[in-house]
Amino acid sequence: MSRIILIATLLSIACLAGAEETPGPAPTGTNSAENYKKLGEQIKAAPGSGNELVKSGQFYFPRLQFQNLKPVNKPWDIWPQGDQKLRDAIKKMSNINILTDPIVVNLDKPDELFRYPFVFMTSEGAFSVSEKNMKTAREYLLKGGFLYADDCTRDQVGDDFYKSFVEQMGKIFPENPMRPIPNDHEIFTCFFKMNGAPHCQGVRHPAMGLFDKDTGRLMAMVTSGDVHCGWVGFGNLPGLDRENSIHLGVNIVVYCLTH
Amino acid sequence: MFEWLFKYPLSVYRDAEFGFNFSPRIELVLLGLAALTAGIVWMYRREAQLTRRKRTALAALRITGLALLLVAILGPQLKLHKKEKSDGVVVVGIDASKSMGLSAGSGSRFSRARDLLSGKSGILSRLSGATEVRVFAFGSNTRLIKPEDLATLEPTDDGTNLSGALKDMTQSTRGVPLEAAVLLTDGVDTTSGDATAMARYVASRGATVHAIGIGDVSTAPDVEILAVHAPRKASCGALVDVNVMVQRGSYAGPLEVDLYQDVNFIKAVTVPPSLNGEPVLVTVKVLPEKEGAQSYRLELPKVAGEVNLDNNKRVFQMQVEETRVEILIVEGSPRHEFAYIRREMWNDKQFKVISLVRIGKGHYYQSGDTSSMLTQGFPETAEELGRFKAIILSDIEASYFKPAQLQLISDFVKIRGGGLLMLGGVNSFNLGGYQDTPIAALLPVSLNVEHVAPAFDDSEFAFQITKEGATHEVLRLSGEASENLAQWNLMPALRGVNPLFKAKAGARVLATDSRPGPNGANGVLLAVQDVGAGRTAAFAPANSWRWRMLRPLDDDSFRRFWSQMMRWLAVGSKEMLTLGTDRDTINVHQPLVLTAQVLDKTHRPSNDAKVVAKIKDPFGNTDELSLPWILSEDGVYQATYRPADKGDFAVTVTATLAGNTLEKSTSFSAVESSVEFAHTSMDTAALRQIAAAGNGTLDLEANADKAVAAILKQVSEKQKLLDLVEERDLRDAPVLLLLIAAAWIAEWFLRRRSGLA
Repeated sequence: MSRIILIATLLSIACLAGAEETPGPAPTGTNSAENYKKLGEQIKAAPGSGNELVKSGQFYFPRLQFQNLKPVNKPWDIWPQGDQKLRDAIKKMSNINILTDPIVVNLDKPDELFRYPFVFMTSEGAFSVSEKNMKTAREYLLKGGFLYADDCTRDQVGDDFYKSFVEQMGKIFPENPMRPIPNDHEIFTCFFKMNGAPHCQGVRHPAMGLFDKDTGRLMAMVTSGDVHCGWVGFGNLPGLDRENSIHLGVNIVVYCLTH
Repeated sequence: MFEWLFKYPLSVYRDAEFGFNFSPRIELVLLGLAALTAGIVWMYRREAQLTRRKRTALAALRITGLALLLVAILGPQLKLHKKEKSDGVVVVGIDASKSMGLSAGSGSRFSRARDLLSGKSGILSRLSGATEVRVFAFGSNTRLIKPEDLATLEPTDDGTNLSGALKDMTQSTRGVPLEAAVLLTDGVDTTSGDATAMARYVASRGATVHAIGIGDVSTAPDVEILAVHAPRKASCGALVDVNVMVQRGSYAGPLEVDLYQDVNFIKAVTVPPSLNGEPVLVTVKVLPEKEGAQSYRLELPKVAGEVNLDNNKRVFQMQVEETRVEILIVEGSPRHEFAYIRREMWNDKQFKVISLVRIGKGHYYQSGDTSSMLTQGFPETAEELGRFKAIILSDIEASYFKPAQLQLISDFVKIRGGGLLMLGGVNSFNLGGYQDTPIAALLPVSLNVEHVAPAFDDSEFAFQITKEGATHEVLRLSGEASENLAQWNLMPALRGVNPLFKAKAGARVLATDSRPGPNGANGVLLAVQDVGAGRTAAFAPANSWRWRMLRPLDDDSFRRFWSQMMRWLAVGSKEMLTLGTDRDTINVHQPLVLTAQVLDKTHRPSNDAKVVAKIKDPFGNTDELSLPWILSEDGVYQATYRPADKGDFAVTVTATLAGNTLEKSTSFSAVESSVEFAHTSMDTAALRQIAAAGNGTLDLEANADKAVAAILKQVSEKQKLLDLVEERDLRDAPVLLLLIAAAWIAEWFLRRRSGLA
C-alpha cells in the first residue's frame, strides 16, 4: 500500500512539474459537487474567448457524480481543469454554443440528469451502480442521452474504471453488450479525421461503445487511455497525446449533437 | 240534301259543338231581341186597319227574319274537336348488366324483364299505341336498340350505371318532348353516379321517371364489404391504414375481416357491431414489406345462412416503394434540438432526412445522403432543391443564404408546393434577420413587429395548445380533442424561445406561450398556414427535445408531434411526374383512364412533354400507349386503356422533356365484374328514391301494369291539352239564307194582301 501511495505521489509531482500550463488547483478527491463547481468557476475561460463563428443552441458539458467502490485518490471529480479546457477548445474550434458553467449531475436525481443529454464521467477506480440507478441510466440513454467515460488510469497502469464501466453497462443493457468502436466510425471522423481513440497512458483497451440496437446510434463510449489527462495538458507525461485527446473530445460532442 | 242545306254532313253536326264567332254578352243579346220585338209589336199595333191576327202574324214574321239576320251577323259556326296523336316520346330502358342474368323464379331477371316488354300485350306495344317509344339497353353504357333486338339481347354488361342510363336516354330525346322514362332494372348500381339527381333533372323537363323493379328482395343474411380505401402508394416498412366499410345487414354475430397478401393469410381484424344497421368502419393496418405492386385481398368469412358470397371480398393493390419523403434540415450549428428531431425522423421509415449542419466556417456535416450535392452548402438550383418535400431552417441566420437561394425557397413553397418550417433559436426569425426577405412573406408570423426584435428568451414556459390546435392534425396525440388537450397539458415546460407576438391573417395559431407578452397577448409558439401551393410553419421554441427527455420512456409524444408536422408540411409537394389511374381495380374491357402530370425544372406544368405508357398484361405482353396533353389543363396528359384479360397490369410511364426522361410506375387489376354481384337482392330503396325524384312510381314486375297505366294516363292527359278545335263557319249555310228570305217574303205577301204594300 505504501508503495502505491509513493508511486502516486511521485507521478503527481511529475505531472504537475511537466504541465505546459498551470492546471490550476490540484485534483481534490473530495468527492464534492460544490468543490468541483468552485474549481471549475475559478478556471473558467474569460467571456468572449470563443471564435467569431455564429453559435446557436446551448450545450453543457456536465460531470457525472458517482460513488467509487473503495476510496481512491482520484474519484469522480478529478481534474476539473480537463473539462474546462475541453470546453474552451470546443468553443474555439467549432461553432457549438458550449456553456462553460461547471455542472454536476447524479443518477440519483434523474429530473436534473435528464435536462443534460450529454454527460462525462471519469475516475481511476472501480464503481458499481444500484438497481435503481441502472434503470435511470438505461432510460437516460434510450431516450437519447449520451455518456462518455474515460479511465483516469490508476497509477498509470490501472484499468479498474474501464473494466468497471463495461461491466456495469453489461448489467444495464444485458441484451446489448458494449462492443469495440471501429476506427473508421463517425465519432472519429465527424469533425477531426482521426484514426481511432488516442492513448495517453494506462492499459491499451479498445474504445468500447454501446450501440442502439435499432438505429446503430452510439449511446455510450468508454476509453481506457486517460484522454481526460490529455485535455488537462500535462506536457511531459510520457505518451501524452494532447492534440488528439482534444480532437476526440470535440468529435464526441459533435457526434452527440448531430446524431 | 242535308249537306246542301246545312253546308256539312250530318256526322259533322253530331261531333261538333254549335257556337258563334262573335259572342256578345247574352244579356245584351236578349235585351236587343226584346227591344226589337217591342219595336215591331209597337209598329204593327199602329196599323189599326189590320185584324189582331194579321198584326200578330206580320210581327212574328218580321221578328223571325230579323232574329235570323242577327244569328247570321253573330257568325254561327260548328266547333269540331280534332284529337291528334302526341308527338312526345317515352323512353324505355332495360337493364342488360350481368346481375340481371341471375335466376329469379322462372327464368332470369333479364328474361322476365324482356317478357314484360315484348308481345302484343307487352309494355312496348301498349305504350306505342299512344305515343312514340324508344327502347334502350343499359349497363356499363347505354345504347338505342330496336324492339325486335330484345329477343337476342343478353345481360352481359359488367356494370350498371343508372344515372348514366337516365342521362343518355334523356339526351336522345333532345328537341322532342319527353313524356316519361321507364327503367326495368334490379337497381344494382355499380357506379357512384347520382341517379336520384338525374331523375330530378328529368322531372324538371316535365317528364316522369318510372321504375319497374325486377328481382327478389332477399331476407337471407348478407355481410358485405362495401368499400375499401387504401393508399395507392406506400413506403416499404411503413404501416398503412386501410379503411374498410363493412355492411353487416341483418347479421349481428361475431365477424372478422381477413387480410391476405396474394394467397397468404396475414391477419384478421374484428368487425365491431353496427348501430342502427349503419355500415361499420374497420381499420386494417397493413405493413408492406416488399417493393413493387402488391396485391391484397380483404375477405369476410361466410356467415350462417349467407347465400351471396360474391360481395364478401375486395381486392386492392398498393405500389410499395422504398422511397421516403425527403426532408432537408439546414442547421446553423450542432445542438440537441437538431439531434433529437433528426433522430426521430431518421427512425421513422416514412422519411429520409438529409441534414446540412454548419460545424465551422465553410465546414458542414452532411448526413443522410451519400451524394456530394450538398457539400457546397444549400442547393442553388430549383432542380436540386426540388428533390425535397420540405425544408427545415433550424437556427440559421438569413445572411447564410444568398438572395437567390432565399428566392429559391420561396418558389419551392409557392410553386413546387413544398413545406417550410422555421425552428426557434438565437438565429431564427427576427434574430436571424429574416425581416424583408422572401422568407418573411412565407412565414405564418409577422416579423415586422412594432418593437425591435426582442432578445431570445431563455426562461422556462409552458406550451399551451389553442382550441384550434387541439383538433389540428399536427398536434394530434389523441383523436378526442379534450383528451388531446389533457395529454398536451402533461408535456414538460420548454426553455428557450423566440418571442413572436403576431400571427398573420390567415395563419392558424396552434399553440401559445403560457405567459402574456408585452402587448398583453400570449406569444405565438406554433403557427401554420398555406402559402401558394405549399405550407409553412413557425415553431418558436428551441428545445423541444425536453419533451423526449422529461417524459416517460414509452411516451411517444415527441416522435408523433414531429412526424405529424413533417407529414403536414410535405403533403402539398408536387412530383415532377405523377401518374394515376382513375381506379385500382377495373372490370375486363372497361375503360381505365391513365393520367400523368408533368412539371418542368421550375416545377411549373409543362405541355411539351412526350408521354408514353407501357402496359404489361398478366401474360407479359406489352402495349404501348401515347398520352396526349389534354388541352383543358396545363401539364396533364391522359389516355384510356381497356384491359382484354383479367389479372394484374403493370404500367410504366415515361415523360421526355427537354432531353430529360422521367419515369413512374403504377399498377391496376382487371377482374371479372364482381361488383355486379355486390348486391344480389333488388335495391328497392334506391329505385324508390329514383322514382320519387322523377315524380313517377316504383312498381314491382307483377304490378308493371300500374306503371303502364300511369304513363298512358299521363300521355292521355297531355293529349287533351293538345286537342285541336276546328271552327267551321255557318253564315253561308243556304238554310240560313232561305229561312231569312222565306220570313221576309212571307211577310211581304201578307202585307200585300192586307193592303199595306
